[in-house]
Amino acid sequence: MNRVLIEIVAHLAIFLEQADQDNFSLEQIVRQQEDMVFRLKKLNAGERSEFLRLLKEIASGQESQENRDILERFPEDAGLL
Amino acid sequence: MTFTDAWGEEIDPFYRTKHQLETMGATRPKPVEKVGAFVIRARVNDKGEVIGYVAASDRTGQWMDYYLLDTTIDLANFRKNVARFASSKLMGRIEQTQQKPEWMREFAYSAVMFWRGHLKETMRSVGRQWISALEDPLWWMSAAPATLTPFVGPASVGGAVIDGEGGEIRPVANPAGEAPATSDVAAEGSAPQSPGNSPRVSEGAGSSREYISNETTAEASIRWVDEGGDMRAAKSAGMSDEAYAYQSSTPGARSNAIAGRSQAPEVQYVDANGNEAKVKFDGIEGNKLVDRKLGVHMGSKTRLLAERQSAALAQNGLEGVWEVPDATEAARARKLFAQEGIRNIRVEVVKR
Repeated sequence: MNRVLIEIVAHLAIFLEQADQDNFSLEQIVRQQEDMVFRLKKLNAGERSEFLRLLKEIASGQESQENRDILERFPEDAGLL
Repeated sequence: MTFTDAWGEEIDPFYRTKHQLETMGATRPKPVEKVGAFVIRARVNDKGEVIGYVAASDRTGQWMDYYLLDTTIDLANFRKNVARFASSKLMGRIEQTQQKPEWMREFAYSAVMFWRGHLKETMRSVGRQWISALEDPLWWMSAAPATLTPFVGPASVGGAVIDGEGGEIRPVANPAGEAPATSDVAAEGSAPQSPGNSPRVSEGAGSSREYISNETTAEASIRWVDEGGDMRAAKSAGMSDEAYAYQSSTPGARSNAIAGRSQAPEVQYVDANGNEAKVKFDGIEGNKLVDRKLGVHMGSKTRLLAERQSAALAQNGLEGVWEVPDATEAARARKLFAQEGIRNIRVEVVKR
Protein backbone atom coordinates (compact mmCIF):
# COMPACT_ATOMS: atom_id res chain seq x y z
CA MET A 1 0.00 0.00 0.00
CA ASN A 2 1.30 3.41 -0.97
CA ARG A 3 2.26 5.46 2.09
CA VAL A 4 1.79 8.72 0.20
CA LEU A 5 -1.85 7.89 -0.44
CA ILE A 6 -2.41 7.06 3.23
CA GLU A 7 -0.83 10.40 4.15
CA ILE A 8 -3.40 12.13 1.94
CA VAL A 9 -6.19 10.27 3.73
CA ALA A 10 -4.66 11.13 7.11
CA HIS A 11 -4.38 14.81 6.36
CA LEU A 12 -7.90 14.90 4.95
CA ALA A 13 -9.13 13.27 8.18
CA ILE A 14 -7.37 15.94 10.23
CA PHE A 15 -8.63 18.71 7.98
CA LEU A 16 -12.25 17.60 8.23
CA GLU A 17 -12.17 17.15 12.00
CA GLN A 18 -10.64 20.60 12.43
CA ALA A 19 -12.58 22.37 9.67
CA ASP A 20 -14.00 25.74 10.65
CA GLN A 21 -17.77 25.84 10.37
CA ASP A 22 -17.64 29.46 9.32
CA ASN A 23 -16.08 28.32 6.08
CA PHE A 24 -17.61 24.86 5.62
CA SER A 25 -21.09 23.71 6.52
CA LEU A 26 -21.20 21.10 9.24
CA GLU A 27 -23.38 18.90 7.04
CA GLN A 28 -20.79 18.95 4.25
CA ILE A 29 -17.95 18.13 6.62
CA VAL A 30 -19.84 15.17 8.08
CA ARG A 31 -20.86 13.99 4.65
CA GLN A 32 -17.22 13.92 3.53
CA GLN A 33 -16.27 11.99 6.65
CA GLU A 34 -19.05 9.49 6.01
CA ASP A 35 -17.91 9.12 2.42
CA MET A 36 -14.38 8.43 3.62
CA VAL A 37 -15.65 5.81 6.06
CA PHE A 38 -17.69 4.13 3.32
CA ARG A 39 -14.76 3.98 0.90
CA LEU A 40 -12.24 2.74 3.47
CA LYS A 41 -14.57 -0.10 4.42
CA LYS A 42 -14.13 -1.45 0.91
CA LEU A 43 -10.56 -2.42 1.77
CA ASN A 44 -10.11 -6.16 2.20
CA ALA A 45 -8.74 -7.53 5.48
CA GLY A 46 -5.10 -7.40 4.37
CA GLU A 47 -5.37 -3.92 2.94
CA ARG A 48 -7.16 -2.69 6.04
CA SER A 49 -4.47 -4.08 8.29
CA GLU A 50 -1.76 -2.40 6.23
CA PHE A 51 -3.73 0.85 6.18
CA LEU A 52 -4.04 0.83 9.98
CA ARG A 53 -0.32 0.09 10.38
CA LEU A 54 0.72 2.96 8.13
CA LEU A 55 -1.82 5.31 9.72
CA LYS A 56 -0.37 4.55 13.13
CA GLU A 57 3.10 5.37 11.83
CA ILE A 58 1.88 8.64 10.35
CA ALA A 59 0.09 9.50 13.61
CA SER A 60 3.20 8.94 15.67
CA GLY A 61 5.11 11.29 13.38
CA GLN A 62 2.73 14.19 13.98
CA GLU A 63 4.18 17.10 15.91
CA SER A 64 0.79 18.39 16.97
CA GLN A 65 -0.81 16.47 19.82
CA GLU A 66 -4.24 17.35 18.47
CA ASN A 67 -3.43 15.93 15.05
CA ARG A 68 -1.94 12.84 16.65
CA ASP A 69 -5.12 12.34 18.69
CA ILE A 70 -7.34 12.66 15.63
CA LEU A 71 -5.34 10.04 13.72
CA GLU A 72 -5.12 7.69 16.69
CA ARG A 73 -8.90 7.88 17.13
CA PHE A 74 -9.60 7.58 13.42
CA PRO A 75 -9.71 3.77 13.16
CA GLU A 76 -12.35 3.62 15.89
CA ASP A 77 -14.24 6.71 14.68
CA ALA A 78 -14.40 5.18 11.21
CA GLY A 79 -15.33 1.70 12.42
CA LEU A 80 -12.23 0.08 10.96
CA LEU A 81 -11.33 -1.94 14.06
CA MET B 1 -45.47 47.15 51.58
CA THR B 2 -45.47 43.47 50.78
CA PHE B 3 -44.04 42.44 47.46
CA THR B 4 -45.29 39.22 45.96
CA ASP B 5 -43.71 37.46 43.02
CA ALA B 6 -45.65 35.73 40.29
CA TRP B 7 -45.57 32.52 42.29
CA GLY B 8 -47.41 34.13 45.18
CA GLU B 9 -44.42 34.19 47.48
CA GLU B 10 -43.53 37.22 49.50
CA ILE B 11 -40.21 38.61 48.43
CA ASP B 12 -37.78 41.27 49.45
CA PRO B 13 -37.97 44.00 46.78
CA PHE B 14 -34.30 44.75 47.18
CA TYR B 15 -33.22 41.17 47.15
CA ARG B 16 -30.08 40.70 45.12
CA THR B 17 -30.79 38.73 42.01
CA LYS B 18 -27.80 36.44 42.34
CA HIS B 19 -28.54 35.68 45.95
CA GLN B 20 -32.17 35.04 45.13
CA LEU B 21 -31.24 32.67 42.34
CA GLU B 22 -28.96 30.74 44.64
CA THR B 23 -31.60 30.58 47.32
CA MET B 24 -34.32 29.49 44.96
CA GLY B 25 -31.99 27.17 43.13
CA ALA B 26 -31.76 24.99 46.21
CA THR B 27 -35.39 23.98 45.87
CA ARG B 28 -36.04 24.42 42.19
CA PRO B 29 -36.46 21.33 40.05
CA LYS B 30 -34.12 20.71 37.20
CA PRO B 31 -35.43 21.83 33.84
CA VAL B 32 -36.54 19.10 31.47
CA GLU B 33 -35.91 21.19 28.40
CA LYS B 34 -34.55 24.54 27.28
CA VAL B 35 -36.48 26.45 24.63
CA GLY B 36 -34.97 29.74 23.58
CA ALA B 37 -34.68 31.93 26.64
CA PHE B 38 -36.98 29.66 28.64
CA VAL B 39 -36.56 26.49 30.63
CA ILE B 40 -39.35 23.96 30.90
CA ARG B 41 -40.18 22.27 34.18
CA ALA B 42 -42.79 19.64 34.87
CA ARG B 43 -45.83 20.37 37.04
CA VAL B 44 -47.10 17.51 39.14
CA ASN B 45 -50.20 16.89 41.20
CA ASP B 46 -50.33 15.36 44.69
CA LYS B 47 -50.08 11.87 43.22
CA GLY B 48 -46.87 12.74 41.50
CA GLU B 49 -48.48 12.70 38.05
CA VAL B 50 -47.27 15.18 35.49
CA ILE B 51 -50.19 17.48 34.77
CA GLY B 52 -48.42 19.94 32.56
CA TYR B 53 -45.35 22.06 32.17
CA VAL B 54 -44.13 25.53 33.07
CA ALA B 55 -41.97 27.56 30.73
CA ALA B 56 -40.11 30.13 32.80
CA SER B 57 -37.32 32.49 32.01
CA ASP B 58 -34.24 31.99 34.11
CA ARG B 59 -32.46 34.74 32.25
CA THR B 60 -34.43 37.47 33.95
CA GLY B 61 -33.43 35.92 37.25
CA GLN B 62 -36.83 36.66 38.66
CA TRP B 63 -39.07 33.80 37.60
CA MET B 64 -41.46 36.41 36.39
CA ASP B 65 -41.99 35.51 32.79
CA TYR B 66 -43.66 32.17 32.76
CA TYR B 67 -46.23 30.26 30.75
CA LEU B 68 -48.30 27.28 31.78
CA LEU B 69 -48.38 24.57 29.14
CA ASP B 70 -51.20 22.17 29.96
CA THR B 71 -50.58 19.56 27.30
CA THR B 72 -47.74 18.36 25.16
CA ILE B 73 -49.53 20.05 22.24
CA ASP B 74 -49.14 23.35 24.07
CA LEU B 75 -45.52 22.50 24.71
CA ALA B 76 -44.92 21.78 21.03
CA ASN B 77 -46.62 25.04 20.10
CA PHE B 78 -44.52 26.91 22.62
CA ARG B 79 -41.37 25.50 21.07
CA LYS B 80 -42.57 26.41 17.62
CA ASN B 81 -43.63 29.94 18.50
CA VAL B 82 -41.08 30.77 21.17
CA ALA B 83 -40.04 33.89 19.30
CA ARG B 84 -43.52 35.29 19.95
CA PHE B 85 -43.09 35.01 23.68
CA ALA B 86 -39.69 36.55 24.20
CA SER B 87 -36.82 37.05 21.82
CA SER B 88 -33.25 36.65 22.96
CA LYS B 89 -32.75 40.38 22.40
CA LEU B 90 -35.70 41.24 24.61
CA MET B 91 -34.45 38.97 27.35
CA GLY B 92 -31.08 40.70 27.12
CA ARG B 93 -32.81 44.03 27.69
CA ILE B 94 -34.62 42.66 30.70
CA GLU B 95 -31.34 41.36 32.06
CA GLN B 96 -29.93 44.85 31.86
CA THR B 97 -32.81 46.17 33.92
CA GLN B 98 -31.84 43.72 36.63
CA GLN B 99 -29.42 46.38 37.78
CA LYS B 100 -32.56 47.91 39.21
CA PRO B 101 -34.23 44.75 40.50
CA GLU B 102 -36.75 46.64 42.55
CA TRP B 103 -38.39 47.64 39.28
CA MET B 104 -38.96 44.08 38.42
CA ARG B 105 -40.36 43.37 41.83
CA GLU B 106 -42.76 46.25 41.48
CA PHE B 107 -43.47 45.08 37.99
CA ALA B 108 -44.48 41.61 39.21
CA TYR B 109 -46.38 43.13 42.09
CA SER B 110 -48.50 45.26 39.76
CA ALA B 111 -49.35 42.25 37.61
CA VAL B 112 -50.26 40.11 40.60
CA MET B 113 -52.39 42.87 42.11
CA PHE B 114 -54.19 43.25 38.79
CA TRP B 115 -54.94 39.55 38.54
CA ARG B 116 -56.22 39.59 42.08
CA GLY B 117 -58.57 42.39 41.10
CA HIS B 118 -56.96 45.13 43.21
CA LEU B 119 -57.05 47.84 40.56
CA LYS B 120 -56.25 50.73 42.89
CA GLU B 121 -53.12 48.99 44.14
CA THR B 122 -52.22 48.09 40.56
CA MET B 123 -52.34 51.72 39.49
CA ARG B 124 -50.32 52.81 42.53
CA SER B 125 -47.70 50.25 41.64
CA VAL B 126 -47.60 51.38 38.02
CA GLY B 127 -47.15 54.97 39.22
CA ARG B 128 -44.24 54.01 41.42
CA GLN B 129 -42.62 52.23 38.51
CA TRP B 130 -42.86 55.30 36.30
CA ILE B 131 -41.25 57.46 38.95
CA SER B 132 -38.49 54.94 39.50
CA ALA B 133 -38.02 54.10 35.85
CA LEU B 134 -37.62 57.70 34.74
CA GLU B 135 -34.43 57.85 36.77
CA ASP B 136 -32.75 55.35 34.48
CA PRO B 137 -31.96 55.37 30.73
CA LEU B 138 -33.71 52.01 30.39
CA TRP B 139 -36.86 53.41 31.95
CA TRP B 140 -39.01 52.44 29.03
CA MET B 141 -38.18 48.79 29.44
CA SER B 142 -39.73 48.78 32.85
CA ALA B 143 -42.38 51.43 32.59
CA ALA B 144 -43.91 50.63 29.24
CA PRO B 145 -44.72 46.98 29.82
CA ALA B 146 -45.69 47.70 33.40
CA THR B 147 -48.28 50.13 32.15
CA LEU B 148 -49.47 47.90 29.35
CA THR B 149 -49.60 44.64 31.25
CA PRO B 150 -52.98 45.22 32.90
CA PHE B 151 -54.52 46.20 29.57
CA VAL B 152 -53.02 43.73 27.13
CA GLY B 153 -52.89 40.76 29.42
CA PRO B 154 -49.92 38.94 30.80
CA ALA B 155 -48.40 37.78 27.54
CA SER B 156 -45.53 40.21 27.86
CA VAL B 157 -44.76 39.47 31.46
CA GLY B 158 -45.98 37.35 34.30
CA GLY B 159 -48.02 34.18 34.01
CA ALA B 160 -49.93 33.02 30.99
CA VAL B 161 -51.40 29.87 29.58
CA ILE B 162 -50.69 28.80 26.04
CA ASP B 163 -53.69 26.98 24.63
CA GLY B 164 -54.53 25.22 21.43
CA GLU B 165 -53.01 24.73 18.04
CA GLY B 166 -52.47 28.42 17.43
CA GLY B 167 -50.72 28.90 20.72
CA GLU B 168 -53.47 31.21 22.01
CA ILE B 169 -52.49 33.04 25.17
CA ARG B 170 -54.79 33.57 28.13
CA PRO B 171 -54.00 34.76 31.67
CA VAL B 172 -53.33 32.30 34.43
CA ALA B 173 -56.53 32.02 36.47
CA ASN B 174 -54.86 32.63 39.80
CA PRO B 175 -51.16 32.97 39.31
CA ALA B 176 -50.44 34.51 42.65
CA GLY B 177 -52.45 32.17 44.79
CA GLU B 178 -51.60 28.93 43.08
CA ALA B 179 -47.95 28.66 42.38
CA PRO B 180 -47.66 25.86 39.84
CA ALA B 181 -46.22 22.83 41.52
CA THR B 182 -43.16 21.66 39.73
CA SER B 183 -41.16 18.53 39.91
CA ASP B 184 -38.07 17.12 38.39
CA VAL B 185 -39.83 13.78 37.84
CA ALA B 186 -39.11 13.88 34.15
CA ALA B 187 -35.58 15.12 34.64
CA GLU B 188 -34.82 12.28 36.99
CA GLY B 189 -35.46 9.70 34.34
CA SER B 190 -38.92 8.28 34.95
CA ALA B 191 -41.29 8.53 32.04
CA PRO B 192 -43.55 11.53 32.37
CA GLN B 193 -47.26 10.76 32.40
CA SER B 194 -48.90 12.77 29.72
CA PRO B 195 -52.22 14.53 30.30
CA GLY B 196 -55.32 12.73 29.08
CA ASN B 197 -55.79 14.80 25.99
CA SER B 198 -52.18 14.94 25.06
CA PRO B 199 -50.73 13.38 21.95
CA ARG B 200 -48.29 10.53 21.85
CA VAL B 201 -45.18 10.71 23.94
CA SER B 202 -42.30 9.04 22.22
CA GLU B 203 -40.41 6.21 23.83
CA GLY B 204 -37.46 6.97 26.01
CA ALA B 205 -37.56 8.59 29.39
CA GLY B 206 -35.95 11.47 31.12
CA SER B 207 -34.99 13.12 27.91
CA SER B 208 -35.37 16.78 27.33
CA ARG B 209 -36.30 15.94 23.79
CA GLU B 210 -39.02 13.36 24.04
CA TYR B 211 -42.29 15.25 23.83
CA ILE B 212 -43.72 15.07 20.38
CA SER B 213 -46.94 16.58 19.11
CA ASN B 214 -49.00 14.76 16.50
CA GLU B 215 -50.34 18.13 15.50
CA THR B 216 -47.09 19.18 13.92
CA THR B 217 -46.17 18.11 10.41
CA ALA B 218 -42.60 18.16 9.29
CA GLU B 219 -43.41 19.88 5.99
CA ALA B 220 -44.78 22.91 7.85
CA SER B 221 -41.59 23.26 9.88
CA ILE B 222 -38.95 23.01 7.17
CA ARG B 223 -37.56 24.99 4.28
CA TRP B 224 -36.04 23.37 1.20
CA VAL B 225 -32.58 24.63 0.34
CA ASP B 226 -30.33 23.87 -2.64
CA GLU B 227 -27.06 22.05 -2.04
CA GLY B 228 -24.26 20.54 -4.13
CA GLY B 229 -23.52 21.38 -7.76
CA ASP B 230 -25.70 21.39 -10.88
CA MET B 231 -25.98 17.68 -11.68
CA ARG B 232 -27.00 18.34 -15.30
CA ALA B 233 -23.77 20.24 -15.82
CA ALA B 234 -21.89 17.23 -14.43
CA LYS B 235 -21.01 19.16 -11.29
CA SER B 236 -20.26 17.15 -8.17
CA ALA B 237 -22.94 16.38 -5.64
CA GLY B 238 -20.19 16.65 -3.03
CA MET B 239 -20.03 12.92 -2.36
CA SER B 240 -19.34 9.59 -4.06
CA ASP B 241 -21.82 8.28 -6.64
CA GLU B 242 -22.83 5.49 -4.27
CA ALA B 243 -23.43 7.90 -1.40
CA TYR B 244 -25.37 10.18 -3.72
CA ALA B 245 -27.53 7.29 -4.96
CA TYR B 246 -28.25 6.18 -1.41
CA GLN B 247 -28.99 9.67 -0.17
CA SER B 248 -31.11 10.71 -3.13
CA SER B 249 -33.37 7.69 -2.61
CA THR B 250 -34.31 9.05 0.82
CA PRO B 251 -38.10 9.36 1.17
CA GLY B 252 -39.15 12.87 0.22
CA ALA B 253 -35.76 13.75 -1.25
CA ARG B 254 -36.04 16.18 -4.13
CA SER B 255 -34.12 18.52 -6.39
CA ASN B 256 -34.52 22.01 -7.80
CA ALA B 257 -35.75 21.57 -11.39
CA ILE B 258 -34.45 24.98 -12.42
CA ALA B 259 -31.05 24.93 -10.74
CA GLY B 260 -30.50 21.20 -11.28
CA ARG B 261 -29.26 20.93 -7.71
CA SER B 262 -30.26 18.59 -4.91
CA GLN B 263 -32.43 20.05 -2.20
CA ALA B 264 -32.37 19.37 1.50
CA PRO B 265 -34.99 20.07 4.16
CA GLU B 266 -33.64 22.64 6.61
CA VAL B 267 -35.05 23.15 10.10
CA GLN B 268 -34.65 26.30 12.16
CA TYR B 269 -34.08 26.21 15.89
CA VAL B 270 -32.70 28.31 18.73
CA ASP B 271 -29.26 27.21 19.85
CA ALA B 272 -27.96 27.07 23.40
CA ASN B 273 -26.88 30.72 23.18
CA GLY B 274 -30.37 31.83 22.22
CA ASN B 275 -29.37 32.46 18.60
CA GLU B 276 -31.37 31.29 15.60
CA ALA B 277 -29.67 28.40 13.83
CA LYS B 278 -30.41 25.93 11.03
CA VAL B 279 -29.66 22.30 10.41
CA LYS B 280 -30.23 20.10 7.36
CA PHE B 281 -31.52 16.58 6.78
CA ASP B 282 -31.74 14.52 3.58
CA GLY B 283 -35.47 13.92 3.27
CA ILE B 284 -38.87 14.01 4.86
CA GLU B 285 -41.56 11.40 5.41
CA GLY B 286 -44.72 12.52 7.20
CA ASN B 287 -43.67 13.77 10.59
CA LYS B 288 -40.16 12.38 10.26
CA LEU B 289 -37.03 14.07 9.02
CA VAL B 290 -34.66 11.54 7.52
CA ASP B 291 -30.87 11.62 7.33
CA ARG B 292 -29.21 8.85 5.32
CA LYS B 293 -25.68 7.78 6.09
CA LEU B 294 -23.75 5.25 4.07
CA GLY B 295 -21.19 5.13 6.86
CA VAL B 296 -21.15 6.61 10.35
CA HIS B 297 -18.07 8.55 11.43
CA MET B 298 -18.10 8.89 15.21
CA GLY B 299 -15.96 12.00 15.53
CA SER B 300 -16.77 15.34 17.11
CA LYS B 301 -18.35 16.81 13.99
CA THR B 302 -20.91 14.01 13.69
CA ARG B 303 -21.74 14.35 17.37
CA LEU B 304 -22.23 18.07 16.96
CA LEU B 305 -24.49 17.54 13.95
CA ALA B 306 -26.55 14.97 15.87
CA GLU B 307 -26.94 17.37 18.80
CA ARG B 308 -28.08 20.15 16.50
CA GLN B 309 -30.53 17.90 14.68
CA SER B 310 -31.89 16.68 18.01
CA ALA B 311 -32.40 20.23 19.29
CA ALA B 312 -34.09 21.30 16.05
CA LEU B 313 -36.41 18.28 16.11
CA ALA B 314 -37.30 18.83 19.77
CA GLN B 315 -38.05 22.50 19.33
CA ASN B 316 -40.22 21.82 16.29
CA GLY B 317 -42.02 18.82 17.73
CA LEU B 318 -40.69 16.49 15.05
CA GLU B 319 -39.15 13.02 14.86
CA GLY B 320 -35.81 12.17 13.31
CA VAL B 321 -34.48 9.03 11.70
CA TRP B 322 -30.96 8.13 10.66
CA GLU B 323 -31.13 5.50 7.95
CA VAL B 324 -28.03 3.37 7.49
CA PRO B 325 -27.33 0.45 5.14
CA ASP B 326 -26.51 -2.31 7.61
CA ALA B 327 -26.70 -3.46 11.22
CA THR B 328 -23.05 -2.59 11.91
CA GLU B 329 -23.56 1.07 11.05
CA ALA B 330 -26.88 1.06 12.94
CA ALA B 331 -25.13 -0.17 16.09
CA ARG B 332 -22.51 2.55 15.74
CA ALA B 333 -25.17 5.25 15.31
CA ARG B 334 -27.09 3.98 18.34
CA LYS B 335 -23.90 3.96 20.39
CA LEU B 336 -23.23 7.57 19.40
CA PHE B 337 -26.77 8.62 20.39
CA ALA B 338 -26.47 6.80 23.72
CA GLN B 339 -23.16 8.53 24.44
CA GLU B 340 -24.62 11.92 23.60
CA GLY B 341 -27.95 11.35 25.39
CA ILE B 342 -29.94 11.79 22.20
CA ARG B 343 -33.31 10.07 22.32
CA ASN B 344 -35.41 11.69 19.64
CA ILE B 345 -33.58 10.31 16.60
CA ARG B 346 -34.25 6.68 15.74
CA VAL B 347 -31.92 4.47 13.75
CA GLU B 348 -33.25 2.25 10.98
CA VAL B 349 -31.53 -0.10 8.56
CA VAL B 350 -32.44 0.60 4.95
CA LYS B 351 -30.55 -1.57 2.47
CA ARG B 352 -28.83 0.07 -0.47
